[in-house]
Amino acid sequence: MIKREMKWLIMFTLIIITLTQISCSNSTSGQSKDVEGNNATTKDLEEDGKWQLLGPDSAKISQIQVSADGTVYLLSQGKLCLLQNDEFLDIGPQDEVAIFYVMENDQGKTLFAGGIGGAIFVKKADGPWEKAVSPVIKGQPVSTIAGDTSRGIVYVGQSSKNGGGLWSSQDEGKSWDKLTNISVRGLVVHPQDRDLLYIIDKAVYLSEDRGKHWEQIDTPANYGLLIHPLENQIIYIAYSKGVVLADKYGLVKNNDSFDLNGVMTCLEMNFIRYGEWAVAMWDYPSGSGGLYFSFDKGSSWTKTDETLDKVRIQDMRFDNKGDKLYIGTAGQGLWVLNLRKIR
Amino acid sequence: MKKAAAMLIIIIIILSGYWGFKTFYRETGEILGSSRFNWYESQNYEEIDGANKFARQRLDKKYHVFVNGIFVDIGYEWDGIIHVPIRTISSSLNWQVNWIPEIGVIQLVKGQEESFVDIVNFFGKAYVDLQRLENLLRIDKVIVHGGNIEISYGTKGLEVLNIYGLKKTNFFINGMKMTDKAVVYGNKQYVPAQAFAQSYARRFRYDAVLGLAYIDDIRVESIFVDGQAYSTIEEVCQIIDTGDDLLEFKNSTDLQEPRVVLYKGPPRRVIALTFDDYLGDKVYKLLDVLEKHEVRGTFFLIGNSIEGYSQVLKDLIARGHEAANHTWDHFNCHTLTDDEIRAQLIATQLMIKKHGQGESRFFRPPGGYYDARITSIAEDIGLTTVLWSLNSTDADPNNGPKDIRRTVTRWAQQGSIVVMHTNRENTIESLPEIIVSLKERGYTFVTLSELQKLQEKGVVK
Repeated sequence: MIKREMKWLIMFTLIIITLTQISCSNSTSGQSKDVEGNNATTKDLEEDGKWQLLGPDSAKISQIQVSADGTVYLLSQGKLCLLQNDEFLDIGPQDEVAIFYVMENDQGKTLFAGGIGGAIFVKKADGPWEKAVSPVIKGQPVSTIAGDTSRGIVYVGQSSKNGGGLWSSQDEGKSWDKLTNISVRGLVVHPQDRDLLYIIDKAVYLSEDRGKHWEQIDTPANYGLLIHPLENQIIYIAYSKGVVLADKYGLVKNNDSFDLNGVMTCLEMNFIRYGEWAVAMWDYPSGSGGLYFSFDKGSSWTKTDETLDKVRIQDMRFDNKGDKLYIGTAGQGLWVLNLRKIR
Repeated sequence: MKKAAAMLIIIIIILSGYWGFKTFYRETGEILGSSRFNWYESQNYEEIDGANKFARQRLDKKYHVFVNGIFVDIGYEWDGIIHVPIRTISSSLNWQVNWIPEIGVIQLVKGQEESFVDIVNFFGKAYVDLQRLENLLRIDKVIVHGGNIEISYGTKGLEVLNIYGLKKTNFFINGMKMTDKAVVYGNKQYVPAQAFAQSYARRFRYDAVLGLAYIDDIRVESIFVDGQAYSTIEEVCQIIDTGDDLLEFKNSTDLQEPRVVLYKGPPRRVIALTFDDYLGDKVYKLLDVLEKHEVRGTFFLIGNSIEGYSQVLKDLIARGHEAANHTWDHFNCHTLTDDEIRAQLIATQLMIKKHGQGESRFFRPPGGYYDARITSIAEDIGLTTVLWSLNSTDADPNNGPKDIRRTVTRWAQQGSIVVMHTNRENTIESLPEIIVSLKERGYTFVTLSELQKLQEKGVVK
């Protein structure tokens, strides 16, 4: 009788031990996947359909633009490329490119590329690249290119130790007007009121007459600018650890700090779902960061997951439908995040 | 059916017994006495080691930054981008540097020019991308070679002496070695002006355009040796009142007895509570809790917070606590030169002495970042480096008083050195229960000096 009970007891204990070991082994393998996070294979990451790596896994992507038809343009190690069948297609020009801009209007697409030595190249639809007249200081890279698509105006800005400025062209780079001597690291054209231009450099400047006159906005936030696509009186001026909500003249309404580790490397607003923002953070000393989402205009932030924790994100763009986020990294490829999976 | 029920009861009893034993074992930590393997403590040591290894790795690619031949600071390459300290470089080119704490940016002002700069913060020191700084300050030329960054601005060339051609000696303030690079030149003895000024917590800056050095915006006569300003004692003492301090040039160093890094006390029923960081008004609340429970602790103080709250320090000592050294600025010591670490420690020692009427004997490196170089420098100042064996985790804002209490009471062992922080409500709230619980288990609370007396030899990890 006792022997039979002992057998039962031993069997039961063995079952418990086996179950415990299975559970431990599962949690251990899960842990190692977490620890290795970034070493996980692309297949692992793509399995849940949330993340997808596009093109070479070691690519350095410094800029991304998604056109209205969903075409993805990107700048990878000085080469302007098109994303085609998940591969990078080099579309020129020959020179090393520092910055590019795709202008879209009734006449189709026009590509502008600013070289690292100050040259400017223009390409219309399927036509060849043509070297435009360049107004910027030679030998220094073009810092930014932006456009007023409805009027066909392209703006070129430069910020360098030898000075800089902002120029505009209405004939696709054949001739340029200098608008200001203020050096320009970034330029934002208001999507609704296109007379409004913002310069982001050593400080933030506003022009209400397409760049003829400029006034410094009284804010120390100078990382970048988000403009509300529907409410044209609202702008968000960003600094490395937060966003200042302001009216279009920069009058600050409130300060929101991200309170996230590191400094912001890029901030994007989803123009289809305009309450949806993405911010990439990076802490240089520790070499770690993260991709965060806000569904309430920056009031609260949620980390996506640990996939890109050890990767410095250099640029991000929502796609034309607002359901995907393209993420360009410093040496670990171009990623696309399926936003429907994280909402 | 009966058999199955009996088996189930037996299994439940076994599991309950195991769970009860495990809980009791964890909660009290007393069953096997001090020899019990303390998983948390072991993890703590690994964390400190790991953090130091990682920091050294991230700080491996470093650059000495010279502006017009003057050594101003050290920069680092992180992720392929060279970052340099913005304050020292900008002020050496006569930019006013203002910190805007609300949004964490730096304002640079020179005449009518103004810039706002986002920075990378590393232990309270602001770094910026070198290329960005080159644009902002309109630097003429930047050459990066070897481990140096040479910044050229304007045309002034400096007459720089080579230290290898000069006789070197040590210099001491009240027996604390301030530098081993004092020099003799033209029958005069010179000290590094920056190290001297910073040892007295005075502001030092270069004007690299004209090749001048300033202490508190007063020009100090200097010669330049290996890119650093050197002045005679008479010259620096015209600006800094050193009072009765003993200032000595000595060829030899009095041999210091090698000290061990103290992580933990002896296996006796004692525990040392230590509190790091700033002095402030909240410290009184902490002192009241400790006084109510008749517990004395050790406070590792950041030197630059003492002058503003000197009465707090006096009261702290009057209540039987011990003041110790947590450096002047709370920078990561791995990022500092030997002389900078010495100045950080000496300035804090002098401040504690001035307001605390005593000398501190212990030093805790901020963040636990240390190595043999740093502990050896601390020895030169007469300080024993102290880490901790039990991290209360009160620095984590997600941890409430309950978490802190649970961590400390669960893992406290004989001789534990517990690290906590000065200005945190959660810490203050957690303390009464921690003290009562540990006293019930027979522990006595001691200061680090008392702990050290009980210990013939320190515990070296």
